Amino acid sequence: MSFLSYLRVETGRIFRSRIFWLAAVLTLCAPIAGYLFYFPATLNHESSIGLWIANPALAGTFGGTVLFALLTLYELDRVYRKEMASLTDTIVSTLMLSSSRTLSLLLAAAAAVVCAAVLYLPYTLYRTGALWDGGYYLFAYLGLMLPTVWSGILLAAALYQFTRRVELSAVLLTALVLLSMSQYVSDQFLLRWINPLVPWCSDYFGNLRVIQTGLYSRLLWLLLSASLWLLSLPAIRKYGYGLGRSFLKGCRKIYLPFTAFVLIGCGFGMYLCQPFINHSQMEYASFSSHPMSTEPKLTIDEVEITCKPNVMTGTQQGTATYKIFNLEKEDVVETFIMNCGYTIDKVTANGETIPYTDLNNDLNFEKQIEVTIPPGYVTLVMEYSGMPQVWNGLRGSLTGTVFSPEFISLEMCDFYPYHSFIEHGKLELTLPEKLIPISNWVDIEVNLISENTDGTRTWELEPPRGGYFGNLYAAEYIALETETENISAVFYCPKKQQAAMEEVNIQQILADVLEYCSAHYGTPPFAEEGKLRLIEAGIPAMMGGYAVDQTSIMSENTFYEKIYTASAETANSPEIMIHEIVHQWWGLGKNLYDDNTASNGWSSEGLTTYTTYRIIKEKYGEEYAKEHCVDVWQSQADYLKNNFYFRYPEYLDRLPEQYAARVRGSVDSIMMYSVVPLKILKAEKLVGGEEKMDEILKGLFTNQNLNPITYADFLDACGLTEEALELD
Amino acid sequence: MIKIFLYELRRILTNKFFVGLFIVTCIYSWQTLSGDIITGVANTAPFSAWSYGLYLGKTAPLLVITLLFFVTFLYSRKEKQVQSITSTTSFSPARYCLLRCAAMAVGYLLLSVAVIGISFFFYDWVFQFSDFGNLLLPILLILLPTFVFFLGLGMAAGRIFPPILYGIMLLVLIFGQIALPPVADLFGIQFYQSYPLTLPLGADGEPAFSVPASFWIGKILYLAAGGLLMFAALFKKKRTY
Amino acid sequence: MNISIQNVEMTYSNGKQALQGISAPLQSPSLIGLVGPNGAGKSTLMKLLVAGLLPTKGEILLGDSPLISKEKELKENLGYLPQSFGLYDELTVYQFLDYMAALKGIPQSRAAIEKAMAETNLSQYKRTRIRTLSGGQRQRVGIAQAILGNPKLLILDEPTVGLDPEERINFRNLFSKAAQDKIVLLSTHIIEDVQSICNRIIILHCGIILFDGSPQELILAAQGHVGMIDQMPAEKEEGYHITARLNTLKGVCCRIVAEELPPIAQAVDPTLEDAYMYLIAKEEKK
Repeated sequence: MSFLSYLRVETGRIFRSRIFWLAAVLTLCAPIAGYLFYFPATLNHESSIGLWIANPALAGTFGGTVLFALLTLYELDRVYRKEMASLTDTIVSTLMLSSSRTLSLLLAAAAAVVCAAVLYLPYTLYRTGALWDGGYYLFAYLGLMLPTVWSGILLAAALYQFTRRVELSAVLLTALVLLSMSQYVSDQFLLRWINPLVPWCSDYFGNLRVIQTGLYSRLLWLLLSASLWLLSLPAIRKYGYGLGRSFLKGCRKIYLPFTAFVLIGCGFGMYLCQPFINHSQMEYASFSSHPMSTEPKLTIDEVEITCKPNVMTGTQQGTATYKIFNLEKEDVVETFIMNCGYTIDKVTANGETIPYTDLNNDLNFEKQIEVTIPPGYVTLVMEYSGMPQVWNGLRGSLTGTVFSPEFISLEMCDFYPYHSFIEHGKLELTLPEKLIPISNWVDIEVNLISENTDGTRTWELEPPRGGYFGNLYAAEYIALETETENISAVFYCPKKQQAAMEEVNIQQILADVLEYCSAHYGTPPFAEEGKLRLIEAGIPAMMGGYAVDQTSIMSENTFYEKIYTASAETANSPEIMIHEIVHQWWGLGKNLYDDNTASNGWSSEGLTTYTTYRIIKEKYGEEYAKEHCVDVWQSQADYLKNNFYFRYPEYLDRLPEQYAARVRGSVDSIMMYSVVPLKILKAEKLVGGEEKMDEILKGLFTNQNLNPITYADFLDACGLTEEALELD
Repeated sequence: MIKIFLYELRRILTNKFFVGLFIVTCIYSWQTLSGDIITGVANTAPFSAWSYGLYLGKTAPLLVITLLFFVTFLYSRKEKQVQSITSTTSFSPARYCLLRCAAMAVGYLLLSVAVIGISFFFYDWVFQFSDFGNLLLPILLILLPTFVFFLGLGMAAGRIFPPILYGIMLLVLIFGQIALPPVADLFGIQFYQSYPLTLPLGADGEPAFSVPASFWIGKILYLAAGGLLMFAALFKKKRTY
Repeated sequence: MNISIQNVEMTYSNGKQALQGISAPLQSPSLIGLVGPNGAGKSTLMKLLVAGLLPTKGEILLGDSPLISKEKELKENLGYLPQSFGLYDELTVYQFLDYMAALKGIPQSRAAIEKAMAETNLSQYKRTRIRTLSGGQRQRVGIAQAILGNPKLLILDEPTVGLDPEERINFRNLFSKAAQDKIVLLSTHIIEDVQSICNRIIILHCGIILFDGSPQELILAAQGHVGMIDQMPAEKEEGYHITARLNTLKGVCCRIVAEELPPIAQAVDPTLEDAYMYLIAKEEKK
């Protein structure tokens, strides 16, 4: 009887087993948990893809894996429990029988997962509507769920074959499940087995990085579980031997341990060489990152860069040509910084290949490249390529530089090997034709220079500040214009979202915010000549928002329709959006800074948060604003006041640094975003109400002598003392 | 009698499950202390009775699972086969079962001592805190009712249909995640995180450790239910025909 | 010791009637062989005798009192080896017997254990973990725990299964010696064992006692119903109960059991096995 015949009879037997049908039906039911209470894609579970595809599929992954692992233990043990083994072992080789049994379980699991994918398809189509993403659906069920269920079967079979004990195997599997769900591995996509890391889902900007990391981690787990299973095959008990002697005997079939070790080696290789996350430290070291030399031994007059991202693989290939004058009479070793995921392919100086060293010293987002530059005028050409890596500190959220068919985001050293001495820079970027690039800096123009025949377009960036290209976002953007009496704005949102945004009248909402701020504080400096730009960035690049001169950038989760459509009682208020626009007044229009910020929390955030509250109060009513702003600040301030470490700071010094940093970070955040707004609110009452406070703030905003505005300036303007604003 | 007890204890303690679960519980205890407890619970000190209550509440499911594994030994297929011999001796089945419960209690106690010992070491190491007297009440409030209730439930379930025990183990893991009113919150995971926030603060800025009547009543009910179930499982006359 | 089984009936909850009103006195000293086909009710009767089951009708008396009211006394004097049983694999042979001795409340357990181990040839395995023992050795541990403390009532369900011929003979002798001052009830399919040692045989069939007496009485009852046929015609084989069949140069030589022997058969002295077969065949014919 051939292996296929055994496989056929085993598969037939499995499909006739009631327990299999129970496991299969429960697996089919498991995704329901993703609709009801299991929301692992937590960072933005409001997205349609997250709600209707990722969460159910991840629930199915968890449930299906547990169920099929238990089914595997049951089926493998049944042979011994029912004493069938004494009959079958005399007829067939235990190796063949065990292999066919496991393989038949894998086939049965595949059938169950495919059924689940088919079963939930109509409902998913109905719920996602225009946001349906077939590729993601296939990834969720066949790319995440199926390999995880398979690895569960293989691991269960391996553990059983090693231990020959159902209970012990179940305990070991439970331990593995607990470990996989523990905080130790929660932000490490490779170590999460039963609960693959899907931190976000993007409705409008693609999910390439999550798909890539998901598939990579599933492949790793499949490799490891398959290798463990292969290694367990020699451990199947025979000749009346125990584990050790059976294993030694079994290892005479040398191809089994050999293949297992090859697979384990591949797994370790995959773990060590994963291309997605860099090897920087977890905590942000400093904004200066790698130190650049301060005494130049050379000048770089110009750099010309051509970048060609490959959006299907998430990589890019580029060439940077530098015009350099080496002031010294000898070779100079100069350091460039670039994204940790890139590798230098070739460096030439005046056409000659010259040596370079990739220091691989990942720090924050970047690493250093040392290049030996000969004396005199040099045309240095650096060819580089690779996949940009996520900073290790953000490995749990998997956000950062990305090249994908729907969205591209690039930051400083993601463009090319960067050097701060560059006098002038020019960059040519070739993108798929539907992607429109926008720089976060209003003065960095992005011009279309050619439409290519291969469905791409080439854009040119020429920044006014040397070789610094700022942040660049490219998507299928459309521009929605908003005009008010004093200020106009343009909102760049994805074309796919245009109808939804127009439906909620986003232009009017933006206009309301702009009008409020202009009317209360005055117009920001740019208003006369230019427009305020609002850019919606994809969640693959960032969460939340930030503002730079004349431009506010917010991630897509700020613009979910339901934030703007639901009633005030249930809506998440559009706080982030308002907050980032208000920053054009407080923070950019007028900087708020204090030497004592660390202790008193005074920064742009406090006044911005207060203004956001005022706008929300005007728009949604006093009760709503109190509940969603003032009460939240108060509870945070109370939390801070009552917090043990705030009361007894001496204990903070006893904490290990990682925990102390966590506590300090939380204290700073509460001070800036809750305590200071409460103090401003108190000041508002003390100075005589909102109108009076608006006058004071307008005075501060328009006072040309004040930049930055310190806490003392604010207190003087209010005629109050620091003590008067102390909270109860 | 002591000899049987010692043999039973030896069988439990040398069991691979116990050893495995012991290691897992110790690791999990350390993880809980250094993860959830170190920053303090409900604004209280990490070594307050409230924080300690949450710590024990979080580790209790593992203790219960270990206990339920002990109970599965009573009702396993192998055990049934041995019972065909042991049940024909003059030793009273109820006393025999009680002895085995006592052995399980000692196993549970040892595991509890490990969990508590790890926490004391942690507190001393990180915070130089060694005033463990106030932690006694949360220890009793969590570990005792949990032991009695789940031993009773486990024995009753094992008597009816042993595989239910594995289902209960799964439920125990889920039980710890559900928000329950104080009267039903056996592990107190929700209770210890929310109730202290409703209490007035003392001179040291910490709410004094006092639990509401409903919490006490809940514990007493769990104790009583566990006792009744155990009694039913121990003394129900059984003849198979 | 004196046990009296009186009109005992046993019907399981699934409706299966295992015993149909059987009665038998058991007095020491005696070594009683309990035989019968599979499903005759032997194990049920044994479980009733060890108070593992309660009869649905009738009663079992220990002395003059119902067994149920003297369960403790019964168990204090009982050694029982079930047909299938389990042992604590993680203990050594000595530890397991020590454990059982504690359960049985045997004083000076060490001597009793040593004696039981010596009688069952287990002394050399004293410190061996039970999980490493062979099937026959495990069976011997089962017997050792049954005879531990010299109980007055020894009930053994298929005790010699899995033992080699030498061990079987040893145990037969052991049971025979033990029966000098107690009741030994031995359930077995091996008639040879019964013939060798039992002074009384009870044959159960479909829940009723077909025969209760000495082996000699059973043999006498079959006298004249057992014969040899040297050349058995193949077409006639189906008409008789054949207890032995030997292919010889002349043809097939058969030993048959029948109510009336055919003329070609030569009557021979019946063995206990022939007598058992005769009885069962007669009952089945009814």
